[in-house]
Amino acid sequence: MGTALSPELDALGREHGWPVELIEGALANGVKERTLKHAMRAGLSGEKARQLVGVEPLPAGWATLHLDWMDTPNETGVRARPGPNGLTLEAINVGSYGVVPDRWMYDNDTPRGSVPANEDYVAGSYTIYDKADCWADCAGRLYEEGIQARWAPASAVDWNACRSTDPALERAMSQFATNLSELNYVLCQGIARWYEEISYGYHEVKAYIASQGFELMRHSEAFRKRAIWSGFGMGVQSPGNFNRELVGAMRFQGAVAQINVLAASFLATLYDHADVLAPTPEDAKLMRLCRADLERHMEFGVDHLRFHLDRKPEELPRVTLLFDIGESRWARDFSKDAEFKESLVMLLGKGDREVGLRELGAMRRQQVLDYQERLRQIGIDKTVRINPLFREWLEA
Amino acid sequence: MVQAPDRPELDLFRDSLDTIFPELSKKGLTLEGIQVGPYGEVPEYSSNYTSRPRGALVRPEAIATTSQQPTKREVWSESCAMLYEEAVARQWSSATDIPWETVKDLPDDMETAMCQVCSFLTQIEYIAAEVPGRWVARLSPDYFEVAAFLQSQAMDESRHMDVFRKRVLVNGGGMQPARAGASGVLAVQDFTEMTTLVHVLGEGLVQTLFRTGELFAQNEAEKKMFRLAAQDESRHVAFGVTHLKYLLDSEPERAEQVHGYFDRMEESLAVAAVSGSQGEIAVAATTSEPLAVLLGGGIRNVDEGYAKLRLIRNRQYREYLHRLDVVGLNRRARVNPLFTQVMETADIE
Repeated sequence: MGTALSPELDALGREHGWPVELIEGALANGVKERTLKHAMRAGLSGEKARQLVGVEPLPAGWATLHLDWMDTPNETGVRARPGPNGLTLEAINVGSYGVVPDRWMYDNDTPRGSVPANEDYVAGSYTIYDKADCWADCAGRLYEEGIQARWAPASAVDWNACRSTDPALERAMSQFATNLSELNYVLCQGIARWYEEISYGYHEVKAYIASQGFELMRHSEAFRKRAIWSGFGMGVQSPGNFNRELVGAMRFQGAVAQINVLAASFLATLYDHADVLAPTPEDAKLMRLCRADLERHMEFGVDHLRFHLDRKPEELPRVTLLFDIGESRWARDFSKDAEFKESLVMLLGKGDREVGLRELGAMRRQQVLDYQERLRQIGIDKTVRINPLFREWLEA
Repeated sequence: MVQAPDRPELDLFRDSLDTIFPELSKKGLTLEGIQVGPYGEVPEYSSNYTSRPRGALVRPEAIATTSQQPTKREVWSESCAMLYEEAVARQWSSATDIPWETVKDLPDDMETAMCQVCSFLTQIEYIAAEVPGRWVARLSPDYFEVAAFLQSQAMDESRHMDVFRKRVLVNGGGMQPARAGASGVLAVQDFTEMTTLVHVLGEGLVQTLFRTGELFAQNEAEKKMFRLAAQDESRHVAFGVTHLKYLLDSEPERAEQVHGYFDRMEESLAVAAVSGSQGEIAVAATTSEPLAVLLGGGIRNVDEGYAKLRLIRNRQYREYLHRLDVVGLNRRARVNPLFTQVMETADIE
């Protein structure tokens, strides 16, 4: 055949009963020496190998023996162990697989810890390759918590007990729930567009934001159901200024600032008032379920922006400006959306306008205070530089 | 075309309106259950560029939030609401619902083969979240049920990405080389192109593979992992099939275009398979070999594994053609011959 056998291969062939002509034929057909060694050591008989190495015709559906995946230059022997919350994404960050690089080097779908094959590589269209631009240490944990805290709006509340006997409250609830369904739909859209932007090295973030999008869609669904369940159907749409910010964010930090911090914070404080706001205990339960989801969204938002600013402190003015813009859009919508305001007054006052206005003032003040506190956790001081309407709410 | 209701003068403290009440089903208050009156009327054409929920009253000054406005026929599936509800109700956790303690030491060739298969699966699964996520961000709220379904798919695919990575790292084998994967799917431009490639062809082939997972799983953890993933994939495939059926029932003249998408993808897969590339959806040599090793019980019996793998490939192929029959797309005479050769093994039938 003209293809020389190495002494090692020759010895292995004798040991495992592979005729010399078979080994020479395989090498002549392009089968690599290391492939043959793997095959012999694994106990593949020479007789069975004849077709696989191409010295006899290959049956349909078979492939010539390759076994290159047996020669992986990877870390072996490290085993992830389930912890108290099961085998989580954090638990599998073992050995070199847990090292999250500051800069991801591949522009295709190579998973972290894999080595891509240069001869078989199709580039993707990712745009975020810096850890500083997407990461939060809590992402993997929040993803797992989100999955384990699953609930379904169809059955999580007793819908038969989820309707007030007061038609005015139900009418208000239809408007309130319409606003929340609309906002949550766009919040979901705002985060969903980033799935395809983040490169594969940061799979914890990719998985987390998919879970966040799922939860936001669930909130949209839940409130649509509540609006229609009222019997009065859907109310009036919002002015949409803030929504436009959500879908138009040019950078991931913009989306996170508006979705995970500003909107999530204001909604969380709103749901914190569930006992006052909700016309029925089941409505309060629904709001508390949404509130629990939002806790994760806010934690990701605060952690990510803190990480981003820790790595890129020069970004502080730009991130602060993102919040300025978000605040102004949010305030603009509030000042123009009489229907939403009216529904809040009705629900908070249980039909008494004066009580409702007083409760609304208190809730808005708390919303701004909670928002400022979350910004403080990021490292942004908004005690002075705050939207005028927010200041008005604080001082009312 | 369904007209959005005009905005009335509202005063919640004074007004009363006519009411219409939905009804509960055994599954609770589902999206199908709230399709009452005008709220269940999905417009054929939507001029709603704002974020106005379907059926909500128009605010004339509301600004646009979306730049792309498909028609119902371009995105709709009659099953999307039901599939979404099922997805929400059947979420599972890879951390706690898989009996990881049943994964025991395997011979090196078997462990490495399982890690190669699962490395490939963790590589390709998230692409099937990224591409639908693009349309979640674009879809008008008039077709929110479709967006809701696609979002549930993104959740499912994240879980698949994580469960297969967990299997790779739970038993010491480690991540294996990445080959071409599915990055090419990111190039899709049109919703139906996405559905054709991702839901019907790609997810279809993967679903069949998962449904045969019992044959190559080595323990209860792997069996359950493939079983649960197959359950998720069934929804994704069902969406694709019902969307294409809706499209072709509404617009039969689009059949040639849809054929064109399948032509392109079958060709890519066939070329990938014969060139030794991993290919995009688990039909090619470097994915086949570790599967054959697992199916045979080790490299020593890889020939027996290939015999079993041929049955799986054949099943993938037959189920693919069956789905297209359901869609109403007669492709049996048009399938790429090389793809047929790769997938079909006439001596088995």
